[in-house]
Amino acid sequence: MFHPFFSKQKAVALAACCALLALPALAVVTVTKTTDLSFGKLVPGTTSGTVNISTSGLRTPSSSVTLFTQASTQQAAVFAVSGGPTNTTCALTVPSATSSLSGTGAVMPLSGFSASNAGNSVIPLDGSLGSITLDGSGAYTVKVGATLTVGASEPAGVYTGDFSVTVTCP
Amino acid sequence: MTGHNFVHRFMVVVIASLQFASLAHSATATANVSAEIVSIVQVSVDASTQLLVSSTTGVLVLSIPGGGGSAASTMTLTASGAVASGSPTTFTASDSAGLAALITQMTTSGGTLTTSGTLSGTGVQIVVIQAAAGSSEGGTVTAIVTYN
Repeated sequence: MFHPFFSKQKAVALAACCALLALPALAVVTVTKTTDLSFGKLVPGTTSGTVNISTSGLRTPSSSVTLFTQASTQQAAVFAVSGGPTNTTCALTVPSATSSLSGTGAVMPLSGFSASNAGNSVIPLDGSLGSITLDGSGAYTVKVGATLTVGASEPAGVYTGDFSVTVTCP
Repeated sequence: MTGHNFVHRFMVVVIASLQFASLAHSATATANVSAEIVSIVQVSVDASTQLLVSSTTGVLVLSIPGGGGSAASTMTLTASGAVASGSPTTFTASDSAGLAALITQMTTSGGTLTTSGTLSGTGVQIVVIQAAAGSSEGGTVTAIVTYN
């Protein structure tokens, strides 16, 4: 039996009301990849070397690696953060361990990840961790660059791999 | 079920909801990564003449030893099947970057079927020639390198 003032119907209605009120506070952040990371076309040398691609998409070779620009598309990865709590600082995690690209020859290590916002302002990373502050709509754009190690006389072909980033909000 | 018990259950539901709202939540996304290694053909360091052809997009890499002193190396470059207009270009460069820039200009400015020049100086190791795409893809590039 229910109390006359607190009928079952009223209780159900109140519960639904409170549930609806609680939902807006449960902002579920989502991360969507909008651009893949591409190092473009590279010419290997007789010794191993590296190519770094900045978050603005600028390639910088070292050692004997040469950049090939003809019909080459190079770009940093871009991730769109949305739906998060507004004006809130969230944790950004980029890969800490070295991943690699696989192809026709030896795997090419991928390391030295860097991150920036849409305006290419650097997001400082402590190891693999950084922080981002979502805007008034709970959104943020993260750009990610990395360094690829190209083996000596790496065989020609397309090499592929992947990496993930995670955003954690309070 | 009594009204009291139901209210008690209801409170449990509300508290649980509020606690859930305070939990940290995360999301992950994955990006693909790619790189294309372009095939090359290199001039051997001890040969005076060698044909260089790339079957991909016209990558030509010349490995030119700088020599032990101030002696200059001379290179004659002949390109055929590329863009058939314009006038021959003569290039001279004392470093690989300068030469690469000149040759790139030569192959992309649209004009040269035949050209020659002198590579002077020492320490030049690698020069990358980027042939024009499109109509030139069917062509070949021949380089003759002579060391003094």
